[in-house]
Amino acid sequence: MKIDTPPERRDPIREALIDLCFEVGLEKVTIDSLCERAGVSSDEFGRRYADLEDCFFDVYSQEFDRYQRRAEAARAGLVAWRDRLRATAYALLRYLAEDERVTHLSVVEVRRAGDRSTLLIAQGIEEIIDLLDEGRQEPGAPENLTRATAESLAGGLFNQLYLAVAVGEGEALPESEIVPQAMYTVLLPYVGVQEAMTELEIPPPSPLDA
Amino acid sequence: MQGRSVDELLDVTVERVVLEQLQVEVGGAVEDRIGAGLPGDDRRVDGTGLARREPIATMNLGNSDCRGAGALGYSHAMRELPGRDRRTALAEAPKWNTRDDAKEAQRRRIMRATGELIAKRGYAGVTVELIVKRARVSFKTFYNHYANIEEAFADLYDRAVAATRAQLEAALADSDAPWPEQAALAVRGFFEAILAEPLIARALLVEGPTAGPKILGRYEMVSKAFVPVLARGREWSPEARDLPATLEDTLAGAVLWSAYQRLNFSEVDRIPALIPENIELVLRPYVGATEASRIARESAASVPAAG
Repeated sequence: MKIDTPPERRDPIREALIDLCFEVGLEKVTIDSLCERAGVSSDEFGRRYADLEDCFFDVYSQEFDRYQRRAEAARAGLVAWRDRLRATAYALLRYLAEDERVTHLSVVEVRRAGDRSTLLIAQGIEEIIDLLDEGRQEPGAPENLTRATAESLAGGLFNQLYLAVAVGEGEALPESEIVPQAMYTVLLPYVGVQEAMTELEIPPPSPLDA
Repeated sequence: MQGRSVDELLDVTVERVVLEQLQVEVGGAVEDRIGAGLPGDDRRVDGTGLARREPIATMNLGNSDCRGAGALGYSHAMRELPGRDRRTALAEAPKWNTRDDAKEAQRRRIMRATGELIAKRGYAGVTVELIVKRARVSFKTFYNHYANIEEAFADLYDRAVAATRAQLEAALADSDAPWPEQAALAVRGFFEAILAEPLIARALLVEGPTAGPKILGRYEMVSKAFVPVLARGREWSPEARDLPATLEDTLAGAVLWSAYQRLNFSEVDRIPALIPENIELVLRPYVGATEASRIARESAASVPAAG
């Protein structure tokens, strides 16, 4: 499916930052190298941004919003906790599969990009933890679970994602394997083995649904 | 390697906690913790990476700025563990070689300074100048040991991981408990190691992933350290053989993340409470909810209490 390029993606500074982060890593990017790559003057950069951290945050927050809109659209109309969780997982994976440069920026570089960007990704993970933690309301969920279980599960998945992108090890599994297995793992503490196993048989939604 | 009970291992933690509390109480710092806790430490005498118990009275209360865990808001007391052996873990005295010992002591000071500075300032915020000041060595000495900061950090990473691994393996070798209890012991030992050295743990687990490919590879190995331990659960229960292939990766990452979050947000005092829940989380797929809960509860009876 052809995806329209949003207007902000045509911004040369944005493109240059994403390219350079992907090629050499944020720590080796300077304002000079960024401006040279983008074909803009340092004055123009200075008019828009206070510094590189500010620039990174601007680019990253646009991407963050783009993912959020996708995930919200994928969850629209879904009521059941498991359905919303599954829709979020597919939306995230499909967003990440679109552009490996943006994925690298959003998953790896963000961790060394200053407080504002770090807080934003922490907020994103927090929202996933909130969603997972709703599992405690499921019928039959053990009473002794706390939010720490959702926190660990979200972190475990994020850590896997981080390593897959940062280290780039092996061939990525198709979404039709990643999501059911991840769903199984995160459902298990809340609904038990038998119920969690049923996730392994649920096929991915059509691209238009997520 | 001689096996050790986990309670003996935890004695190390008790010593440190007492030191940290003392440090807070006197409003100063406990001198000469530099180097303590790292493999090859001169307080470690038996080659197992275990610290010899050191009476506090012999510690030199000086003017070091080494704030250790106190800087992370870490203050909690250990509960008395059932069956704990309070004897001093003394072993044969090592054969000392003065020049080599001095070099090793320098190396340890450099590594510790590197780790503590990275924990406080982030990897990018550390310079060789800061390290040599904190380690009380010259630039020449630093470069005699390491070509750059990354090498020092990598050495710290390798030694800390090897020491923790050796302690966990020794604890497991000493235990004839069935697999679920052993897995619980491993999870608990991992968190105990973090509680013993929260500042170094922060450097390794929070700052490590952002410190370039050399360190990232080491972080990845730590991330996956629990995978083989957990995968043994598939043999433990016939129903567990058909579990999804990525299960152990996720569970191992979950344990690591749990520690990462607390270290990142300076909430080390919340770690003890997370231990039973993490044990339950990783055991549940293999042994079921009831059994996982029982083992976690039993483990909770002997984990340190948050103060």
